[in-house]
Amino acid sequence: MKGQLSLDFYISILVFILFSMYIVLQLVNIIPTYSREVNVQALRSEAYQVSELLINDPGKPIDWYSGYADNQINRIGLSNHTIYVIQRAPGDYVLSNLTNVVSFAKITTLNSKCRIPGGYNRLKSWLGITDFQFILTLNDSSGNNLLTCLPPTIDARSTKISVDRIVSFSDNRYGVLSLQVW
Amino acid sequence: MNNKGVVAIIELIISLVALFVAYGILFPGFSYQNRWGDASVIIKARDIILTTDRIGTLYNYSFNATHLQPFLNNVVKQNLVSWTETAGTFRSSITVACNCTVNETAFLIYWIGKVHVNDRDVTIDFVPTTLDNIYPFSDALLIVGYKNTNPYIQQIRDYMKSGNGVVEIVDFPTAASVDSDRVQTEIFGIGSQVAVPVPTYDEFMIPAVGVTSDIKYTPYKYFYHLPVTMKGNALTPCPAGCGNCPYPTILRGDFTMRTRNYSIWICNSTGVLIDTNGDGSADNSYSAGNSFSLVDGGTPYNFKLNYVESNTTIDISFRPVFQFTNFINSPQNVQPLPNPLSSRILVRGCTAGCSQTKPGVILNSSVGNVAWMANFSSQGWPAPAGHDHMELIASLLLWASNKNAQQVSLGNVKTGFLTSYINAVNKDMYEAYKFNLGLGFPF
Repeated sequence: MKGQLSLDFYISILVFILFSMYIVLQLVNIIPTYSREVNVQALRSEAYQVSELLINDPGKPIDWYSGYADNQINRIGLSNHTIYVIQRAPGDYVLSNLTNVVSFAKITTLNSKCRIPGGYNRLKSWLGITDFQFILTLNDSSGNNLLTCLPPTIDARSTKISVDRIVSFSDNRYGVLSLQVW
Repeated sequence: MNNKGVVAIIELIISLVALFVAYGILFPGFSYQNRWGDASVIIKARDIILTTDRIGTLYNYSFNATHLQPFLNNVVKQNLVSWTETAGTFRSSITVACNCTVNETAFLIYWIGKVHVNDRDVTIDFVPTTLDNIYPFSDALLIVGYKNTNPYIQQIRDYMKSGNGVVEIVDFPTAASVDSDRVQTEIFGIGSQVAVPVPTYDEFMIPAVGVTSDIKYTPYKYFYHLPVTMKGNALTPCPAGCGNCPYPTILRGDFTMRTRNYSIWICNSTGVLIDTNGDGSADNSYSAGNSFSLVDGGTPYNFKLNYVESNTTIDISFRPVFQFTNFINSPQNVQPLPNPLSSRILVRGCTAGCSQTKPGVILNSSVGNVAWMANFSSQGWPAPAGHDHMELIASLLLWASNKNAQQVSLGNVKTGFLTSYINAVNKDMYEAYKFNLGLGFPF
C-alpha cells in the first residue's frame, strides 16, 4: 500500500482548499468596500476642513475681496474680519476669535470670481483643493441664494459628501453654507 | 464488526465544526461603521449655539425653548429631537415654597412676583408649604416668622440635597431659641449674640473687590442691579412739573424706600416723572436707562430707571451706596458662628461710626445657599415693607434658588449629544451661565 494516499488526506486537502478559497473570496469582497469607505471618510474630513476654512478663516490677505489681483490672493475665506478686531490698548488691536460670522462683501466677491471662466479652478487652488470637486452654496434664512459655485461639469454617478454649516452675517441674520464634495 | 472508519468520520465532523466556529469568530461578517452621523450632529449643535450667540438671540433662546424651535426648524433639515438646559443662574420661573399666610403670599407676589432683568421676565411664584412636608417642586424655601425648626432638620436637609436654598425672615424671642435649634446652628450657622445698642441705620458689608468667591458677592450684586418692578396704581391729574407729558391724567405709583414714599407718574414709554425729594411734585422726567437720585434727610440715594415696560409698569434698580433705615428690631441678637467677625454678614446695623454692629442678614453656604434675615416689620409683617426690603428679599431668594440644570424628559431619543457653552450677558447685571443644547436621533 506504499505510495497510496489515504482518504483522510484527500478530505483534509479538500477542506483546506475550500476554506482558503472562501477566505480569498471574502477578502476580494471586503477590500473594495473598505477602500471605498476609507476614501469617503477622507472626503468627509476634507469637506469639513474646507467648510471650516471658509467660515472661520478670513483668507490671506484678510481683505482679499477689495481689489486684489488674482495672483495676489493666497487663500480665501469668508470670515468677517472687519467686526472681530478688538482693542487691547490704545493702538493695540488684535483679532478676536469670533467664529461663524461671514462677510457679505466676501460672499459677493467669491460668487463673482467663481462665475468667470476658469474661476472655479482658481477657487480650488485658493482653497488648496487638488483631488476632488465641490459645489458650494450659501442661502440666507429667508431662502435667498447668496452664493453658488460649482464646476463646469458634474459627475452625477459619484457619491457626494455633504456638509452643512450654520453661519451668521454681520447684520444679525443667519444662513446655511452647504458644501458637497466628490 | 470493524469500527475503525467510524472514529475517523467522527473526528472529521468535529474538525469541520471546530473550523466553522473558529472562522465565524475570526472572520465575522464585514461591516464598516463610522460615526460621521454623530459627528455631524455635534458640529451642527456647535454651529447653532455660535450662530445664535453671534446674532444676539442665544440669551433669549436659552430661557425660552419655544423661541428656539422656529430657528432650529429653519436650519436643521434632519429629523432631530432638540432640548435645552441652563445652569449656573436663576431660572426664569422660580417657585418658592413659603410657610406664609395668604396675606403675606399676596404681598410677596404683588411686590416681587415678577422681575425683569437682562431683558427677560423672571417670575417668582410663592406656594404654601409646611416644614414637615416641604413642597418638592420648588427652587427655594422661605420661612417667615419664628418657628422652632429643630424637628424639621432632616426635611430641610433632604430638601437642600437637590440644590435648593432656604431664606428665613425671623426674629428669635430668646437666646435658647437660636442656640438649641440645630437648623439655626448647623444649617444657617447662627447663634445668639450678647446685646448691642439698637442700630441707627443698616448698611451692606461690601464684598472683597474682584473676589467672586466671596459669599456676599452674588446677593450684593443682585441687590444693586436687579430691577424691582413698580406699578402705577392710581389715575391722577398730571402733577406740577408735568413738563412735556401730553396727557392730563396719568398713572401714579409710590416707590418706597427708607419707609418714605416717592411719587412716580408714568406718562408714556419714554417719560416717567419722579418726585425726587418727596414734596409731592414731579421734579424731573426720565426715560429708560436714566439714573436719578431720591433724597431722604438731605442724603441722595442713587437709582436707575432700567425699563419702562408699559404706561403702568416700570423697573427700577438700586445703585450704591444705599443705607436702610434700621430694620433689625429683634429682641434677641444673632451672630454668625463660629466667628463673630465672620465675612458671612451681608447687612449689618450700625450705631454712629459703626463701632458696634448688629447683623441683619447672615449668609451661609456650608450645606447649600441659606440666608437669615432680620424680620424687618415692626408693625406686623409685611408692613412697613418698602421696595428696599423687597429688593433685598428678592436678591436673597434668587441667590438661594436652585441653579442646577432641570432634568429634561427624553422619552423618544435613541441617541443624543449635549453641547455646552458658557454665555454671559451684561445689560442690567453681569450674568454668566452654562447653556446646554441637546440634539438627538429619535429612532
